[in-house]
Amino acid sequence: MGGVDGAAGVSNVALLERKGESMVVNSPHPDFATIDAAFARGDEAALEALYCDVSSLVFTLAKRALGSDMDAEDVTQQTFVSAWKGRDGYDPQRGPLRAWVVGIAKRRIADALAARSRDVRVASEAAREAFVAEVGGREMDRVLLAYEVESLGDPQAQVVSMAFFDGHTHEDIAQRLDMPLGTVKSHIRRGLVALRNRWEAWDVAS
Amino acid sequence: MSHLDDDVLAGFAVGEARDRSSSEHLAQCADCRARAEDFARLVTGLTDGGERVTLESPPEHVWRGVRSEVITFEADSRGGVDGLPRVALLSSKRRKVRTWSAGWVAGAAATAGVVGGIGGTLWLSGITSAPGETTVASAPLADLATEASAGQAHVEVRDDGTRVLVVDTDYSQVADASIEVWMIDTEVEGMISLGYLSSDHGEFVIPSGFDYSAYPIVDISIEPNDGNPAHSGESITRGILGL
Repeated sequence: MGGVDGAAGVSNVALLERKGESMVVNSPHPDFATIDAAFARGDEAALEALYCDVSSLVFTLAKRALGSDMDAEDVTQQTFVSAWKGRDGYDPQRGPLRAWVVGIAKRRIADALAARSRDVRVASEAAREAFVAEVGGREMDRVLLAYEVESLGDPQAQVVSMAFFDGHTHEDIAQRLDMPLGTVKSHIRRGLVALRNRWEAWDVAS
Repeated sequence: MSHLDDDVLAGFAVGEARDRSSSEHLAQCADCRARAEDFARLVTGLTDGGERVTLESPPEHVWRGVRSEVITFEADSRGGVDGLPRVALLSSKRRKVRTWSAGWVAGAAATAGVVGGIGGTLWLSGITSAPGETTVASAPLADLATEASAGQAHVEVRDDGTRVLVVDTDYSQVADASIEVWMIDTEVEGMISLGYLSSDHGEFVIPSGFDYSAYPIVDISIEPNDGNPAHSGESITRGILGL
């Protein structure tokens, strides 16, 4: 096929460009696989890069699940601290670091919900696991997708969110962005391929 | 016919026209059908009609909290730095966030070395400072964020036997927070709050019977005015009393 590898390469480049523009300006890390491996080795700079990459995702998930800024801040802090302390348990071979971290966040969110609830059912480990699965339902996917679309980097992210989140027609997008229709369609197709590739990583991890 | 390209399958998922050979291949090839279904599911997920999700970044203090906990954790797991007691490692939260330099844990650990070293060498026990009071222990203070010198603290015993911790440091007000003075043990486990600093000079009576020599770390922290009496972990200044 060959198409998969090519598209994955494109999406990584787009991500790095986005990071280069906005946040990790001085990051010495050439790509995310390198960051993941560096994190597993205990490189603090990798923790910082990881935080930049997924803290908004973790915080948004927590805030939507818990409905409280303060609780979401606690969960976010606990998630990254737990990830660092438990980094020996992360295996880069099994999937990307961000997916592993979101797994930790889900458990922290479930813990926070359980602590609030006086419901004895959540006391047992099995019930807690069920709770975790619940947190990771449809709502979770919506936030993950928003994160992944944003991670595509512009113009792909802009075109994809206009098409799918805002429901604009391709012709409408072409007109608004002053972009040839063929380019719009190409961005959408390539965006979908990149999203599909990245989405598989979430499935593996959860 | 070879398998259909991802790009083509993605196009089908958003309604692009299928040519005849592609349609025929899809009808025969389970692998391509499965991939086509992946794209269809993805499009369904993207267009589920729910309210649009906007990602929100956590406030900056969350990162400071993460860093502070990590620094403490690393110091503990290394059993202290260079054999020095595990002090001055609770946090240096005021250190500028997002410096993007590698090695901030090592940097904070170095601060511990500086504070520990100075505390060990400048030992001013027994120096008489003024009539009616005797200095029995003293500590240079260091700003944990900059590692710069930040004044001095000493314990003096007054004529009536009262023991007083005297702190001279640069005081600046912090919004919605107070500056609290602590004495902490070398394990950074036990601690006692002596009160709040409200100017460059503060004098705090050490409760009688309290063995301050077991709590030689003078620690000044920022405490949010939230009613929580525990140490915030946000230490700004430290020194170790030479006893």
